[in-house]
Amino acid sequence: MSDPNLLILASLADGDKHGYAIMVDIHTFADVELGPGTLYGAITRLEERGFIRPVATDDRRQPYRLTAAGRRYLEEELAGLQSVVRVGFRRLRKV
Amino acid sequence: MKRLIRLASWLYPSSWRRRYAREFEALLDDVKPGPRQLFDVLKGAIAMRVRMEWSDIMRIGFRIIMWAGAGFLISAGWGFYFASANKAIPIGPIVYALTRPTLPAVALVEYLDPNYPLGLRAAVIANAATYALVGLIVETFRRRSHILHI
Repeated sequence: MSDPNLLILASLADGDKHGYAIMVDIHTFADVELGPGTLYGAITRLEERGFIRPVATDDRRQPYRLTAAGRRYLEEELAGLQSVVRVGFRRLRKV
Repeated sequence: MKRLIRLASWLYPSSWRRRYAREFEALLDDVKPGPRQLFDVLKGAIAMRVRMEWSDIMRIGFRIIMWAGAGFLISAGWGFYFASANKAIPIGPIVYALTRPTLPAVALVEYLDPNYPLGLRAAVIANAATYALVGLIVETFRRRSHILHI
């Protein structure tokens, strides 16, 4: 799984994080190294779609928060992935 | 390498930089610089530029099509009016005065050669093209003034 949008949403699901914290978290839980350009390309898209929003801060590092729409989208996408995983494993066991 | 990555970040569109530059530079301070990061920032800048330019082109293209559509409808409307008008009653000067600014291509042809046989189809196409050209000029100025105001 290497879709940066889903990885970022999954990372923000357990709390607000800034760019670098998201990168580190994704590397820890998914073993995927997102580059800064890829990360901010995805952050731009997710913010435009209303799935994440910036949290007020005085720091240069801007934290982001998952919105209700983002949470719904993540749940739908994960449910879709879950069914693919379930079917995939079931078919593998038959072989 | 860090300096190169910072330079590459300047390739992002200015509108994007206004919103994200501060936090993006903070992120660049945190990441370990390397060729992979440089390539990723370059790739991201190009992708963002293409994405934003493309959406601009689509928006301007749509507005120009709207202008051409207005030109088409106006000339078709006049065509319908002249075709259905009672030929026994002469067309008043006020009508002619209204047709000139709304049908600039037809007015120009009439001015250059009053005897030129301009058919309805040619008039409609010429008018749609003229309106599209006006739309292109207006949208170009609008975009320039928008960029200057930023």
